Amino acid sequence: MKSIRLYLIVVLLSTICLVNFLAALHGYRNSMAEANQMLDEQLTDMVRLLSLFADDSREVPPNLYPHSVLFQIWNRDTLLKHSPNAPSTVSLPREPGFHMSNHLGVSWRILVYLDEGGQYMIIVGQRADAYAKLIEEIVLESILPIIWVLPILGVLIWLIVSFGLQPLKRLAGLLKERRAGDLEPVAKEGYPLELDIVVASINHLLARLSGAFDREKNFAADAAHELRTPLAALNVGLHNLAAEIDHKNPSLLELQSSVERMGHSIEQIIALYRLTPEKFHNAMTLLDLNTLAKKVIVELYDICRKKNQEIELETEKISIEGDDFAFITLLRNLIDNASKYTPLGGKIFVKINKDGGNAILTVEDSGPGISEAYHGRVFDRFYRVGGDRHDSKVIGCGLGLSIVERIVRLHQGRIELSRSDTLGGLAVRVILPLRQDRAVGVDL
Amino acid sequence: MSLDINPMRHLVIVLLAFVSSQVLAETPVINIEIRDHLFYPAEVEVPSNTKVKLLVINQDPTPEEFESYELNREKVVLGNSKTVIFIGPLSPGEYPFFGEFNMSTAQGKVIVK
Amino acid sequence: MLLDAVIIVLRETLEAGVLVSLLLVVGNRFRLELRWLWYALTCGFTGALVYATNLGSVSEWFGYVGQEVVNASMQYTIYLCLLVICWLISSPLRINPRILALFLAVTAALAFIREGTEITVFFMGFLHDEGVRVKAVTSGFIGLMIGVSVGVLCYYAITSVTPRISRLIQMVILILMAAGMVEQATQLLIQADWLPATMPLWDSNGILHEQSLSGQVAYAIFGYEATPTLVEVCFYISAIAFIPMVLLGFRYYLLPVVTEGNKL
Repeated sequence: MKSIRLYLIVVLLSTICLVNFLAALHGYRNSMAEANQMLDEQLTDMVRLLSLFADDSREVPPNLYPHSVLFQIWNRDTLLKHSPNAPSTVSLPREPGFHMSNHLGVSWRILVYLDEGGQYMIIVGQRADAYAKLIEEIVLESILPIIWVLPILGVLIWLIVSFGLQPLKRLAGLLKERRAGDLEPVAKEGYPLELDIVVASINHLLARLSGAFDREKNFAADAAHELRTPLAALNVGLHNLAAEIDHKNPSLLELQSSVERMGHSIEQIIALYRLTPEKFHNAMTLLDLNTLAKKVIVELYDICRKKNQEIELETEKISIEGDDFAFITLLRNLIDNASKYTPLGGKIFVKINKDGGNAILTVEDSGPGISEAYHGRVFDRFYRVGGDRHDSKVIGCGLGLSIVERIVRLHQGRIELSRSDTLGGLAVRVILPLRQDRAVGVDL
Repeated sequence: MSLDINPMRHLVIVLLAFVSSQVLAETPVINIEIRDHLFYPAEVEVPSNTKVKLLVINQDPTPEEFESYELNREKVVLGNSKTVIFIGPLSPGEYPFFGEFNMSTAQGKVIVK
Repeated sequence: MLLDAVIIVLRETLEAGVLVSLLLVVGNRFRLELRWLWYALTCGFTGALVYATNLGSVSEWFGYVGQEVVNASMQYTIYLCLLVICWLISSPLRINPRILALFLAVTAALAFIREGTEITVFFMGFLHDEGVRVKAVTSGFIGLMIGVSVGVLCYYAITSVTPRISRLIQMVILILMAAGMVEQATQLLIQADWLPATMPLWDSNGILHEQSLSGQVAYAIFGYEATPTLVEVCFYISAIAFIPMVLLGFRYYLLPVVTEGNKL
């Protein structure tokens, strides 16, 4: 069965057709049989009547028989009387009983009656075709409406079936248009008994799925949180150790680098968790992008100076609706990335400007850039260009750009990667609407 | 394989019987005419246990179908043409036939005696 | 006139309807596109028209038994096609869907030609008569709808059961319909005096009247005959037995040889 609707419509129509027409055929046959019986009774009556005239010199009055009736009265082999339309010969059947016979180019129902003495024979006939025609016309009259009504029935059945399947269609539509992350239960009201079980099962499954998702998400975030405290202790320990032994000790440096990398990963995981749509509470405020950028650059200035990098900010005053923490994370990740992948003595250029209803944030660097082939993949979580053999010896866990992308999406913006025209490295362009449209859902 | 052998043997016997009956008796021919969607004669008498050849001649311009459930025969006779239908051997009794294209009028029967 | 047209169209479409619905089930089972049916319909109606217009000369062949001989050979061909279809759908080898579609199309087309010819002849006789035409078309429509409805219900009935039972039903009805074709063809050859005529073996009209609607359905599905002669019964049983014999023979004698050959 490909479609319930098609099945119901076709099968219902076929059944109605079949039953109706069979009933009509049956009716036709019954009327035919009944009519024939009536005809036979009429013939018997006629014989009884004519037998009165058999041994009588009187003529049969013509008003006793219509044109559609013929008769012959024989006395043995002598034809005594006959109707004008009957033959004066022995061409009609002479076996006692009912017959079908052809006479004057039409078929006749004939009754042959022989009296007890075997002397008189009365043959009466009635035209059979006229009768058949009459019945046919009556039956046709009763069948025609059935035929005319079929298309109407078809439309009605179509409508009724469509109406009946409406709850199923509604449920299917609800499930189809549901966003991937939406695990809210389906509204239970308004479904017929048959679908109640389905809806209940779906809701049960959704609840279990939602629980599983929550546990999974919280697990990562909780783990990261739990790691923060021992990490802080580790940092203190390292600091003390550096004071006690030679702080140029290679093992110590290695250890410091590893702890730093671990701290970075933990912070990024926590950031990512805070930025899931479920956790992002749309705590939108009006932010001064200009100030935020300056703040982040000051924060990161030390790192740039260590690598002897030059950082330039070109900005105009822009207020944008958004989440404070998210924007700082966005700017920090972009500028940090640029610094990381730009060699010693390189250049970083940050520009913030307005274009219509959008704020445009551009971060360019003089690093090697990212080949266009990887542009689609760098936003994947834990993806790093070149994988494990990632060439630059920099701290990173492959979450930076995917966090950036998530923040941009949460703010209904978009992100473009290209090659910087002026500096030759990577150019990241983030386009963000100045005002948030609350009605639009965010689908991650 | 044994399934197929028995019917085949029967068939051979039947075929032999058939050939001998062919040789012994010439098949009688009976003419039936169709005029104005009627059979003439409407009642045909044939001998029992004999194969009979019906020569059906349609004088009407319209086609007709000679049909009989009792005889298991069914054949279209075009307008103004004739055709041959073999019937029998039959046991005594009445075997109605009709013109399927004009069932209400074109009726007749084969009476086997 | 009314009943005549209904019965004529009904009898012919009933058989074609059941056969085509069965072929459709088989086609759907092997995910064939419906194209084969359109080809079969086109060829069938063209063929029926050509046959009907040339029926006069065909009738005169072989001493006025051309109709019987041509119809019988068409039905024997349908039998062979159904045999091949049975073999194709039950073969453990991978079958080419195009070959199956071809045989489905040929079977359906032959059925359409055979059943369509009589309807065409009937309606061609009334083409000139304005008054009767409406009646004839109305009655023909009723007959057609009954036949098509039975076909549709058959289709859904066969597909509504579990695939395993459905396959079994398909095979059984295919074999019965094939045997029915042989039975009808044999009767035609008896009518043409090409096969010996004998007294009927029995008369089961009392149990299921051939003329009744259920009798007609039984006739359409397995060639029910209330008063069969010995020759018909023999041909019918042989036709039924032959298909499983071919299928089993292939599976147990030929298939090992074929697969062995492939291995070498």
